[in-house]
Amino acid sequence: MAFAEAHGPVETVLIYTLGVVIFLILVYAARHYAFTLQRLLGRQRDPYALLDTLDWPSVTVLVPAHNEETVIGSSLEALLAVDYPANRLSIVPVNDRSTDRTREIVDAYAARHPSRIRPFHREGGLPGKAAALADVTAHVETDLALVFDADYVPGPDVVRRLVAPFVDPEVGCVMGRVVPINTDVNLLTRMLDLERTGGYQVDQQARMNMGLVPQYGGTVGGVRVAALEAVGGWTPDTLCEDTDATVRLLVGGWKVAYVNRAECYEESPETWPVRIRQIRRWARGHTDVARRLTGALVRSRRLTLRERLDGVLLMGVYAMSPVVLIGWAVAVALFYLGAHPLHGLIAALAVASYNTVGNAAAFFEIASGARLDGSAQRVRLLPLNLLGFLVSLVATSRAVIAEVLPGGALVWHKTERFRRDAPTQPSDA
Amino acid sequence: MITALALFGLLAGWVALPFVPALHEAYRRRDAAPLPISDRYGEDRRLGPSAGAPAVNGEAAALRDGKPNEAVALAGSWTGHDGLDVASLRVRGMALLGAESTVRERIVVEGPAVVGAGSTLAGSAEAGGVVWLGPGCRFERLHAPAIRTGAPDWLATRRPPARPPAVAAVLPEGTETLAGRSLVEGDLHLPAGARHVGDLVVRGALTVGAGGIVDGSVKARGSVALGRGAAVTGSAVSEGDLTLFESASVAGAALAGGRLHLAAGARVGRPAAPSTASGRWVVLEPDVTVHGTLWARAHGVTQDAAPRARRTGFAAWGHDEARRQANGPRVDQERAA
Repeated sequence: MAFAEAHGPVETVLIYTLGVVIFLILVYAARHYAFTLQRLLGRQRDPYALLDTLDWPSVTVLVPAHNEETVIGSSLEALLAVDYPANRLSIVPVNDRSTDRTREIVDAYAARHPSRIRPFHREGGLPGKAAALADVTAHVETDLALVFDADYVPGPDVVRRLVAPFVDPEVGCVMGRVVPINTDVNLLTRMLDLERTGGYQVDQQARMNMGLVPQYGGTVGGVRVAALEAVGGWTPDTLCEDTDATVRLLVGGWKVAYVNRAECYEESPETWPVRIRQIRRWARGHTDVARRLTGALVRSRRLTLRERLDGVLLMGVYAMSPVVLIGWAVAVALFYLGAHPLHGLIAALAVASYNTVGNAAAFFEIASGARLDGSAQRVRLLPLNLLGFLVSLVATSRAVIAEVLPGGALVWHKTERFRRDAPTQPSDA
Repeated sequence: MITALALFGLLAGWVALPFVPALHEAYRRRDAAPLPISDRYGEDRRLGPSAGAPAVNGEAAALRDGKPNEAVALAGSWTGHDGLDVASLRVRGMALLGAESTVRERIVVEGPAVVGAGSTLAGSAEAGGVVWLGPGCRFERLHAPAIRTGAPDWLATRRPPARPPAVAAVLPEGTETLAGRSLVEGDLHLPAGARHVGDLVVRGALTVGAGGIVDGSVKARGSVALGRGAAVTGSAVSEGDLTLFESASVAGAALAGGRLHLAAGARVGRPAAPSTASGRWVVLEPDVTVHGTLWARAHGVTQDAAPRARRTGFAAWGHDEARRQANGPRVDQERAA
């Protein structure tokens, strides 16, 4: 009562709002601190790393490609060079309604390697990677299917490392680590490299260590086809088929395995507009999945309480961006309304939001990841990631708000590629 | 006014301090290359051992009795003396390591290898032929078409136990079966002689009774114990301990988060389809066979002769209860005898 008397109704509402915002941010801060400390100090869990000798199963590698003439050649060359038994590895470039030379390049590779490359040409249907995967997976004859985006250049051992966890009958999908290849192009690519380091080296591996829910990221990963079909297959009309599949497999009683050593190069966006479009697509798709599947995640009796809690926090990670902006706006408003007793709360908001809500990784996660990677110099760029953080905050908030508000269909935008030196004809090797 | 400006300048400088090395690195670009993605994790020891030291390529060197050696490569077959101590060793033919020998980093033998009692193979050991491990050996990673403990084939007399006629296993009520996989909450004990077709995921501990068969793979959050003569045609994964009792077999990978214990006559992998057996600690009784890779994250040991292992081994490792459940009254009868 005294509190209400001391403040007007507007101030009271704002103070309670700020309290909720700060509580949410502190929850995420605690989560990220726990991940970082676990990764630095805790017991590491990499149970499938020692599986270097196996009766390797047949596997299909899907490479979705929509107008990827500038990169698809590199990807196919790298896949042909992986050290997996050639007679058990089918490479399926999924030419998804391309209007450039993608089809021609893919067919040239298929002609050169007819027993290993079997292209799937898609002429119509829903646009987007999810729809393409839904179509092609119906033709997959192997128990396992791996997915690499067309701009990805896998290392020689990545297929083995991704297949190994499937000896565990509880594993429904597996995720490897993404490493940017074009780090030296400009400041943006260097900052994205740091973000990736925090997100994979610390965040994903810590979740694996702690028995929580690592996330299948849609590329450099794979699925057990029967498991995916049992939970309904790929959802064709989503922007984030990876998050969608992760949640549905978890709810279905399957586990996601993260393999930090299954590393694969990717091409990061080199311009801010491309980066903003990419992160808006992720944020919108992720929020769409959260809206549809969080309830099922919470109710699932097949998951432990820890897994459900981590799953819910994972679902809300992009929604935290507008929450942070609301918190800042409310703090400023309260300041000008003269709500002085809130100094402590506002300080907590400032510190926690700075430390917690980067893009995919908090700042201390990035620093720890760089240390684990043995990068002595690149971590010095970390303060400049504040710029990326602010851009992501605004872009993500816009996407989340667009998703939450009624109307506005999900539209898939392809991420523009920048590489220009990929082969367009098969090499002699 | 001057004080205020000075304080503001001090604050601005303090806030800007982290940006100095950032701008320096952005301008000078000392660390802008992509992270290497191969062979880097030898440095990340927190994620476990790497494949070991590089192959020995040095010229052949004479082994000096009783003194530690570094890299040694030998052209033909070779018999080592007891107590050999060498960093790495490559042998083109067959190798016989004497008792109490130590190879500190890596040994590569292109033919078969016999490792004398009490020897230590740190790092990685690879052989193109069968590897025989004597009792009391310690190891980290072994890779060979067949890794065996105890007496060589021509002396082995153990025969797999006769399998009782299999009866279909009945899983507890509430078991969910989806996509060829059955999900069991809590512990599961498959009785002796039972057969289950399909993968099994158990949220508690799993014991498969003597002669039981699982046509598929098994996974348990707790321990897994395969009774005498039990068989898994796929892989066996345990987040705790994994124990294969006498003559039990796993055709695929055997993976334990804790201790992997292979009792006498146990087998992992097949000659035509080698696999991996691994655990944080690995304990091998005599007459064990692993086709492929045997990998101990912390350490692996071969135990002494089977009768002694029977008396003390399981009790020492805390397996008495699991052994009793998996093998039924036979163990108690043995004890009584």
